[in-house]
Amino acid sequence: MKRFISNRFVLFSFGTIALLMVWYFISLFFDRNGSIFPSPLLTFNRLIILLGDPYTYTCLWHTLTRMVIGFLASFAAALVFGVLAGNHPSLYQFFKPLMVTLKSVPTVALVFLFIVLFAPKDAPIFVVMLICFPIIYEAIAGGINNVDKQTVDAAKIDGASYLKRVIYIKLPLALPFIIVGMVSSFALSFKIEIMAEVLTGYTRNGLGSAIQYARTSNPSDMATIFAYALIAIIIMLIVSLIEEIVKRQMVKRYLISEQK
Amino acid sequence: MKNKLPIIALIGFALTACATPNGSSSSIAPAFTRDSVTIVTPTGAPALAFYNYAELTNFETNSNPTNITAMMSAAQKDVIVLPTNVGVKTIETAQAPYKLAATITFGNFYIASLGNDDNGIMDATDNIVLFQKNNVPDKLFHYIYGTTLDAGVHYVNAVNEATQALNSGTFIDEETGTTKTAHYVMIAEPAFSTIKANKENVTMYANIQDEYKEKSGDLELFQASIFVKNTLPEAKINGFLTSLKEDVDAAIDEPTLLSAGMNKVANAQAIFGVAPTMAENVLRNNNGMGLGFKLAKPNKEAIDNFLALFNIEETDEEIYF
Repeated sequence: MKRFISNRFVLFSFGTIALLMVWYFISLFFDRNGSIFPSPLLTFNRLIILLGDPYTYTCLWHTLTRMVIGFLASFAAALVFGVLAGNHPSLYQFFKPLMVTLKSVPTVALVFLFIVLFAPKDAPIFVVMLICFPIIYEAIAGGINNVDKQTVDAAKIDGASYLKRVIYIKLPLALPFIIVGMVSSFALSFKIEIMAEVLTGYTRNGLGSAIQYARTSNPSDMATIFAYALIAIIIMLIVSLIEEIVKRQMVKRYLISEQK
Repeated sequence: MKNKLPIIALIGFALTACATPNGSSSSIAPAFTRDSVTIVTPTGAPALAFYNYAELTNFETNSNPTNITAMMSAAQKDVIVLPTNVGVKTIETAQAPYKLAATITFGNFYIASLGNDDNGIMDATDNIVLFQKNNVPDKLFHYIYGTTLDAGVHYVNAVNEATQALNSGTFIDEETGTTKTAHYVMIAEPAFSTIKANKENVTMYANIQDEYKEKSGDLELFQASIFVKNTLPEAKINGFLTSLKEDVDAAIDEPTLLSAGMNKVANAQAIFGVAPTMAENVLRNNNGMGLGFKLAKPNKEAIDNFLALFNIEETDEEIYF
């Protein structure tokens, strides 16, 4: 019985059921034909309709594409800056004001800035980039900083160059930190992308644009907005699952202990 | 030399084949094609004029006019469509490098009655719902009716909230936070037609465009206009304006062209902010969206009259194309 209760899948299922029940009870108080807080049933019905519409998949594809471009760009930049800052504490201090600024700047301000600098179509990509960059940077720099010094020194004595020490020792050992940073920023980037799409008002394909359109075309229909949100949640669950599998594979490959 | 003659002849043939029929090279006079200018327009009525641009990537719409104003300040597009007052103000205050070329929307505002007013006459004792305080609808209402009805006027933020008020017959008063019964609601097309089709009690109390015309001495309501970038070649602008006028006139004559053009993209409703069938029906119904085309310069007086509602002084000739 104890094993059954502590089983991860069982706990996840119980959590989901509890969440659905809370959602249902809240909707009992606030739902007015789906205009304020639609019930799970109404939302799932609308979700089925949306899943049968090719427009939903086009929107999803465009949102994911833009998000991945922004995320990969931020990862590339964070890798360079993170490796430098992780290996040189003085550079870490030098970059600190920039990172604090990027972490604190309101996302909305960034959206408006990028609308002017670029265009509503591309603004979400840059917003995702700038929001994810400091998170991944901290993960990489922190991970490298936490690598066992003796292991690195041993490699140095064996004649490994600076680049080899970074690529073959420091980065693999820092991987658990990097993966945690990537997972959290990836989830965040999806939310940021959708929000930025709404704010930019761009009407060509995108989940944010679809939500914005649903809101303006029929303000008394919250069920469609909830259904789009549910699509985003399902996507993130799938992504989390994939990341979990990748993480396990990497832990096995590099024979490093999983950080709990 | 003998060997080179066929090559020279071939090059000569290729060059003459590339020339335009009237002999002018395309590099001398930049010809207008629909995909040769970048355009941004707000969703809704103004976007409909561009029904033939639906599938083109150089054409985009935006659901938030404030973003378009930012794009105008940054000179991002060749052609920008904005409410006339907003565009002129952006040229004057932000030195946006654009000129006012033509107007394509001549008003789509109506006062709808919910049929629950005992005397059937809109007065200060009724609850009158307006949207966008200090913006076009509010300014138009006060231009026509003055301040005599102000005791009964209540504001909601956007047209979709006015739609909700007309649909439900109630609205939340912003000042008191209480729910009140609406008697009259200022509304825009195509929302008005959608509700009228489903609710028998909803009728048109006043056509704001007609009232405006009467009050202004037969001047039209130059609501949304086209602004063209200063650096765009004149020939190209003329080509664009001629083509757009033909498109608009053709759609007014034959509304099916409007929906056919919009339907060239799968998600027309999201891009234009109006469903193609609905747009066609409203256009067919006495051009309810106020679609049209008039060059700006010859209509300076009417434009100035509209801009005066927003305390914008008489426009300078220089801002016109």
